[in-house]
Amino acid sequence: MNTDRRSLLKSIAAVSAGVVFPVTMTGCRVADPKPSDSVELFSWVVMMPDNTVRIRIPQSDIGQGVVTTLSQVLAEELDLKWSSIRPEFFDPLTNLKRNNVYVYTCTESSWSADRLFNPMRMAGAQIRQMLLTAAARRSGFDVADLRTEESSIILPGGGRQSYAEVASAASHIAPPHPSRVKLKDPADYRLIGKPIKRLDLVPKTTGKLEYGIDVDLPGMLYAVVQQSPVYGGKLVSFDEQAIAKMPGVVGVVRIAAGPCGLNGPLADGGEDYGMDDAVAVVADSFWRARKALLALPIEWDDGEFAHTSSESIMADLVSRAGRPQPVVREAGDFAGSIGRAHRVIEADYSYPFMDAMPLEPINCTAWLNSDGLQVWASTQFAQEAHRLAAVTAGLPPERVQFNLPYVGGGFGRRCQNEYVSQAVQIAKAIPGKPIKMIWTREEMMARGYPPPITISRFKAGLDEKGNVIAWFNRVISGTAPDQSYGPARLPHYVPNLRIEYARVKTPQPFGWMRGVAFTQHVWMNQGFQDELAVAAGRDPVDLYMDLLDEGSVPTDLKGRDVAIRRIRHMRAVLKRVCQIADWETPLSQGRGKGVSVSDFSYWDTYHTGTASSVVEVTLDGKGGLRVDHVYVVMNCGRILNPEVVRGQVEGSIFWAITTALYGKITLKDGRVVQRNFQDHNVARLATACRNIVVELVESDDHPAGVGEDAVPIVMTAMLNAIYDAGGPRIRSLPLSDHVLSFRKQDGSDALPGKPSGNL
Amino acid sequence: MGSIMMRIELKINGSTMSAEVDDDTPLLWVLRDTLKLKGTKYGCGIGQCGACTVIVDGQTARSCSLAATAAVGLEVTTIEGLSANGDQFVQKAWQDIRVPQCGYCQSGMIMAATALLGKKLFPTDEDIDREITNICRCGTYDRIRAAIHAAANGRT
Ligand code: FES
Ligand code: FES
Repeated sequence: MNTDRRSLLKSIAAVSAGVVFPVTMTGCRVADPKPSDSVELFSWVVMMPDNTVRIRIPQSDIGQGVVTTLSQVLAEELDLKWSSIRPEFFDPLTNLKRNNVYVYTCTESSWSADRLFNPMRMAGAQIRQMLLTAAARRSGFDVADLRTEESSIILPGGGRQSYAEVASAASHIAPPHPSRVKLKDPADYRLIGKPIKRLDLVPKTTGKLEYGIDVDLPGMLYAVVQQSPVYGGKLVSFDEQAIAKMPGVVGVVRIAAGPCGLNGPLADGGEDYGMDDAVAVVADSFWRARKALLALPIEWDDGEFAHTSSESIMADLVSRAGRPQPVVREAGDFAGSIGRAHRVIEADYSYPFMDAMPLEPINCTAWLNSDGLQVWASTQFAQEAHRLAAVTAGLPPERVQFNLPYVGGGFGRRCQNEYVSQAVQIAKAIPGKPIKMIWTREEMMARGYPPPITISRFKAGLDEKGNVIAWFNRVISGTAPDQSYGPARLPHYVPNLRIEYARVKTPQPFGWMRGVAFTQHVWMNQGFQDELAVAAGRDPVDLYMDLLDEGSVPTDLKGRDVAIRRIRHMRAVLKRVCQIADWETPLSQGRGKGVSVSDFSYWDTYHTGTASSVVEVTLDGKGGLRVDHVYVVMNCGRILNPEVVRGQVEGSIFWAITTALYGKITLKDGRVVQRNFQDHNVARLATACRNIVVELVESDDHPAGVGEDAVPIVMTAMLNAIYDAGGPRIRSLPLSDHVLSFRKQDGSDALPGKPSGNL
Repeated sequence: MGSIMMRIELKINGSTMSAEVDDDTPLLWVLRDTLKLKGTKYGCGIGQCGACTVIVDGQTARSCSLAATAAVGLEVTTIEGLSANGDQFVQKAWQDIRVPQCGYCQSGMIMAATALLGKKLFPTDEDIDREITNICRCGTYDRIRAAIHAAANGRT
């Protein structure tokens, strides 16, 4: 790969062609204006005179590698020379004006490959046709006699015309209708499916890559914010005079509560959870703004949640779990069959609030002047950020330019755009100057968008042979969208089944977090199934395989084909992971293994991957835990770039380990107790598993998401492994709240847990 | 309030740079906002995450927790000082092993690894666990470990 990385950086920062707004700055630096003879083709690419090609990436790069993988997709059909590619992030205003030409611009649900594989291949193929037609006219040959290769058109007899030479003529040719475009045979792929190195690999090792937090503009000021420390609280007053004379302080800005933007496209069920009042101190440096904010006297009205805590919420959920709740799935006769069961097993599982905590703190830069508004923010949803910025500024969208930099981690946290509203409000109060607002880590932890606190009550009946004949699950969660898929979209068709689901309002707004409700419910469901296997004296794999029974799918089920496909895929990856993990071989005393399998089937038409994991752990009997081995087998359809997929699976494994060991946000008197990483640890090298085996299944299916599928299964397998090793049954998180010594005969435990410890 | 503004000279990446700072300003913000060396990142501000790691006189330092004035007279190396083109041996190992995902933690990781490899020719896994306590939320730990070993084995 001979990619010119420096020009990649420039191009990422460059102005999007076709934008009429008088842009002077973009990305993070003064733009290198495109030469006037650069040619935009069909919104997706810009052909440069030197035959390099800018590809518009309609997603945020949050570490999942879309800059590379989506370039592979388009470049494949366009026959681009890989080293000539200069990706740049899409412009939301262009997308708005051109009626969503970029198809899918929200970066969530691991959807980039699924939703853009077809549109970007088609765009590449259409542009190729346009170039071929132009070359045919120019050369007098028939289109059929021409070929393309490495950003050039090859004429009969071997003559070549570069794409750049015919680009201008091609731009006057209408793109062919997709029905008249033939896509490549996958057997001919030379980019898709190949382990190409990321286009941004080198700048990610030199510190030169620019994230939102690195935006630097002439005369820029800095803002630091504090929001209501209690969720739902209101700002009463602040004493600006107290800090007015502190060095560098420019002003104090009152930020009004309001929308935070949709957390996904409306069509995908996006919702706006809103943000609270806040105060910002603006100064000539971050450090001075922060110091002044700490010194600023602020009075808050704590509002309705002033006395709400995780404990009181959980007590409420538990009491509700004692009463019937709305039924979301039912089959057979649970009440009757449980009475006939040979054994009845019951358990309550619970899940705390959590926080995604991406490493780049939330930030946004906004600059309002007579030309309009410019905004820069590391976000997962730039389209909505642009809309929210315009609404907040009271400007028509065409007067707002949104610049999307690289993102230092998203994990769902940046689907919300409340920081964009905040920065724009600050820019409105202090117009004429670019102002970069940065949240401290403390502010991030105080104001997360957590997955909901949840209780999951199970009751199941086994027959004499240890088969599950009755399954009951009642789930009550805090504020969230409808996540009943978590308990209800089991791939199992137990004959007598009843699933209930309800939500109550809790203080924090809801937020996506890597793995979403699957992390919660795959673990709770399969933790309980592991309990059933133990009670029945059965191998859990044996029990899962019995439950994953095509024959149990009702013949009149709507979406029966999907149900059967899910079962087949799960059985296949489960079987395979047992082979590579040598499942049947027992481990020595103090060691244990667990297993889990799942897909991400939110609904019947949701295109999902399937994965299975075996995890081995060691307990030292003194509270210490070590994760020894993690095996994952994943079937994610066609793989765009195996190295990128592996990275996503590896990342998911450590995400699962952090979630299991430390994942918890505690609410006390409406406030988050944890202040920074000293109160909320995460997996580090010393806690990270050293032996990881990832196997990707080869498949010609449409590409599915890979960003989170391994999270739930790895966490579940790990927690089940603790029991297998002789430790306690884990029914709540995090492990740092548990005693991880060996189980006693009488069930009592002796020592405090120290799950971060090595042996 | 309580802080004094002063002009300091810092030796950074072999050059002397001058900056006007409040005396309590952490080195991190002087590097990033005054000297525009933005490869050093802010993650937590309390010495926990290591995103701000630089090398001061051969030792790693969390620049968020070190006053810039305390670095006067010492040799400070930031990620920008490792190489002009990303070809320092640790950076190259990071590229070969394809460590970065979002990349945000990687300046700090590479600086921490560089310091470790400066002290130990062949760090063991235990050395790595003990010395590199930086946070990567994307979960690139497995590759970080592999890249440190690769850098150790590959250096000539
Ligand atoms: S920013 Fe310095 S250790 Fe986190
Ligand atoms: S690569 Fe994203 S935090 Fe480490």
